[in-house]
Amino acid sequence: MRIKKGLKTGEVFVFLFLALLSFVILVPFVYLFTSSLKTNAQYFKIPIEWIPSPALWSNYYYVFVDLKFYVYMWNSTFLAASSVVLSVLSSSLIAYGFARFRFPYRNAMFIVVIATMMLPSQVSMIPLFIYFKSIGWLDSYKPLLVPQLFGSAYLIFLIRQFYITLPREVDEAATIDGCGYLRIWWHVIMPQAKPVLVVSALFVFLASWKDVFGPLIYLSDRSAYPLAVGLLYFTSPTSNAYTLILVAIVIALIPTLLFFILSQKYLNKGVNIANLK
Amino acid sequence: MGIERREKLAGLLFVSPWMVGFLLFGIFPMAVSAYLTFVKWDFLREPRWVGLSNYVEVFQSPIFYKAMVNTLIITFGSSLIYLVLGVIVAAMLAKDYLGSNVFRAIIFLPSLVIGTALAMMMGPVFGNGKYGLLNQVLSMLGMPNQSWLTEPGQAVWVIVGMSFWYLGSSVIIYLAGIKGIDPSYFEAAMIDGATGLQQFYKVTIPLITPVLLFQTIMGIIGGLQVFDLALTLSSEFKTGGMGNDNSLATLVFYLYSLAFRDYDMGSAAVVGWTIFIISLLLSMVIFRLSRRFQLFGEEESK
Amino acid sequence: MKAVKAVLSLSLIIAMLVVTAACSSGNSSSETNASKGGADNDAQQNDGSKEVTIKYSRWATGEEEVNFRAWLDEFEKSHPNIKVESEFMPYDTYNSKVKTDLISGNAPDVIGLTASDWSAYIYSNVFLDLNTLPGAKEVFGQLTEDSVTAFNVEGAQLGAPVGVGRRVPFINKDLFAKANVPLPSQTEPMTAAQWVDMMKKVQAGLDGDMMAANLFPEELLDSLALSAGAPILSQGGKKVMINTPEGVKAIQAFKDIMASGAQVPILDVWKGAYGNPDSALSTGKVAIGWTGTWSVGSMKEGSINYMSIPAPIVEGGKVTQVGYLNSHVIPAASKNKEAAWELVQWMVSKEGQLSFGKFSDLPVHKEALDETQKALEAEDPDAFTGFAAAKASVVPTPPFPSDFDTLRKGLQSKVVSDKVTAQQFAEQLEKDGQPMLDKYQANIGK
Repeated sequence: MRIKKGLKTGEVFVFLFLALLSFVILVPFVYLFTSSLKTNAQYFKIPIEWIPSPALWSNYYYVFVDLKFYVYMWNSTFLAASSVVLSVLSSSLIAYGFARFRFPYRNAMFIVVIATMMLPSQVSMIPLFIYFKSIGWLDSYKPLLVPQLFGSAYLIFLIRQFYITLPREVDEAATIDGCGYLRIWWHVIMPQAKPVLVVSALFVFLASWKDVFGPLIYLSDRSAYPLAVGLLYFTSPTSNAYTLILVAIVIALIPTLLFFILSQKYLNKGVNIANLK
Repeated sequence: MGIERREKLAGLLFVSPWMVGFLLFGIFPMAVSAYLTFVKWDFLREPRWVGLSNYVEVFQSPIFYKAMVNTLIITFGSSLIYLVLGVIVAAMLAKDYLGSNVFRAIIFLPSLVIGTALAMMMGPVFGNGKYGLLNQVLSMLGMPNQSWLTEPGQAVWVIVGMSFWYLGSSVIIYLAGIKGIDPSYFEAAMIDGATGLQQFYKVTIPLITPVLLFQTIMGIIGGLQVFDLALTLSSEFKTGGMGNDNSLATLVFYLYSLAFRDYDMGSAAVVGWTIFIISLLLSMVIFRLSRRFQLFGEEESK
Repeated sequence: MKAVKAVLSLSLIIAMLVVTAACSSGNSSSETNASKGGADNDAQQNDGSKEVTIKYSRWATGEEEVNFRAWLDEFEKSHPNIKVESEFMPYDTYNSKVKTDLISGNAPDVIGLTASDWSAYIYSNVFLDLNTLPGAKEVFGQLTEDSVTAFNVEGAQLGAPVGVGRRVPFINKDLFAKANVPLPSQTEPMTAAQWVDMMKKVQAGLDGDMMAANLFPEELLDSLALSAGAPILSQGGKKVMINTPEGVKAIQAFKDIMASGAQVPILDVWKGAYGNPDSALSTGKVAIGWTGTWSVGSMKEGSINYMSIPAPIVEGGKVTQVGYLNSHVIPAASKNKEAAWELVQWMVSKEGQLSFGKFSDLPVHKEALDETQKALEAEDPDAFTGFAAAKASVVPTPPFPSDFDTLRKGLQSKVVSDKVTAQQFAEQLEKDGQPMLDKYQANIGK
């Protein structure tokens, strides 16, 4: 009885704590959403009108259609989806190499993988820019997508931590059955790794979705811009479109939220990166 | 013998895409930026060799030290929040019960927002005077209003405080780690009569320590590179340069400001390499600590 | 065998991925070509002579963008063999874009730049000397001398001025009436002491959640310092000039206005309940703002009964103001210099300048400037008369590095909150700021 009672108060406490945290996190989002339905005059009213009347749904139509946000959204989706496929596949392949094979300088190389994350990207931006320019890649998605082919350090690290926890017996059985390494990776390792791959996909998707500087310097055609750059069109100091920018933020949030909700099923399964068997 | 050679070859082959990428997009810019630390370069004219004077300039600048202190405050402050609160929240979310999916989505929500947009959203929260939501809460409690981001002393702590909104990414990783724990451990603990709290620090914490280390290293590397938020907040609040009295200066913000506002790529590269060295040192300390937990060492699972 | 197989399938995967990547970028560029194809097609039958397409870029968003495009359309009409492709971006973004474009040599044929951004590039040999082009003497002879010399570097004309953007104080006449304060003069500037007096009276007569003024701190100090004859910086941005008795007087006047209790606290100017200096009047809660003609539209929309007035001056000073002098440059790497020059010439011609003056800054063409001012004042005296007081003495903003900006803004808030005196402000700005300017000049200078 005593234990049961303790558990119950514990659960109530947990629920209250999470509810409070969620409330704090949600307040700016609720404010964002209600403000996006206002005119400038309503926006500056104090006390705040939490339920705007009238609600200007036309703001959404204006931003999405008239300001061509559907174009930016398509570009963002295309870029993010391509990045996910390229980066997750290549990182998974590389991580497999680091996790399963013994070769010279492996540990040293792995440290270098991690070290590449430590130099701020702003330092290498200009040299890379000049480099991409010299091979004629400006004004295309190549500078944003091709480097993804070679894996991302964060994902290589994350996925490798997962792979080393997978039992080797299954691999070995497959080898005896005459499977090549690549087929083992594809047919044996990858299916077991779904949760970590979904986490990786989510992170790549978000990183690409949120990237501003890359697209900004490599692309010069507005019709090729992603949403993150499109948002900047509202930040001019002389622009008085206070509420339209909020609309744009909500629009940019919807696809990422969908992606997250769809991936929840896998996130729930857990990723045994803890190296415990 | 043959198998061993084949394994070596296959391993090298699998990591070869990374090696190619590193040669193409890693070595080259790193070498260039190392060279740049010794020159004055405004991007357009020929670089001019100046020896060590960029190092002298940067290491004598009070702004550099301000940025360094701010960066370290942000790095350790936010890492601590991610570590402590992140694990607690993840452990709370690990159990499936009514609404846990909704809580998970809400806590991850801010991580889904584009950086510039998040700063714009936080504008109203930390806004000045009666306009700020937080100030309205203070007024209700009968406390005086604050100029959260424009008053020099506290801006950096506001950035640390904003880590609460970024908790989601750490929680996802911890959650995955906790879910990956074999349920039999918890069952055994329950049979022994452990309460939820006891399970947390007797089972969960010890078993996910490698995950904590992984995430902490990532948090430190990320924390040392905090930039977007500081940049957009300072431009939202028009505090000039890098915040009132450089209160929003971080190392990468300083780097950005040197390179892209003041056309001094050489000094910017010095700051970049400083960040690299600090990251490396801090990570090495954690590598040491982590040896016990086999995070980087041999791969065999037992 | 298996190793060979592995190599093969690996390279196959990589090849596939490369192909997908190549396809995707190919798609995007063909899409963009398609969207522009329409415009190119109708142009082709226009004229027998060879057609040239040039690229133009400038910072602009929203309505501004539409207006600039219409201006370019006007040019295209009178020059049927030149097509202008345009790109507009928000100011901050635009600046980094210009920089990367100049580095890569991919820059548009005509680029808009503010005087201070322009100055960062002048020793880099990236801009064409416009004096080497046919007819330059006559073209520039018709513009105001100050604006032309501002873009002249040792005899080389590295940019063509196009207009001057300015802000002045705007007041809400209804709130003045509500507070029972007489309206200030639209032509005669007041001294700082008179301003403080006026602001306090307005504040006393307003409701609790209203504010007498949300002034633009930087421009307020700039115009006070200029009126005292001790500008903060010398014209080229090389020297701190304010550390003189007159300069200290200007700083004191700035402090008196900002700390009068009738002005939005200096730290809250840009993000508070009262909008910002540009939008303050549109919130309906502020009696005095500080903005340019670009805000007139939104004030009209909000049915604000507005009026522009001259900026305050120091005792015995004359009204002088900072302006944002803007220009166009032709990159030396441009492949269409002749056509680009045609466009630049048209933009500073009387015809081009008259249309420019209708939607943007004040023109730099002497005759067009006079006509525009008269026309604007006749059309909307409330909006434009206040600009006239400083007409003859608008000084372009000099360039400065970001650390200097931080130092200056920090001192501004310190002097308002009594942490430093006006005297210390001037001394510290010179002592700490001068080395910052020197270092910056060493980076961008010769």
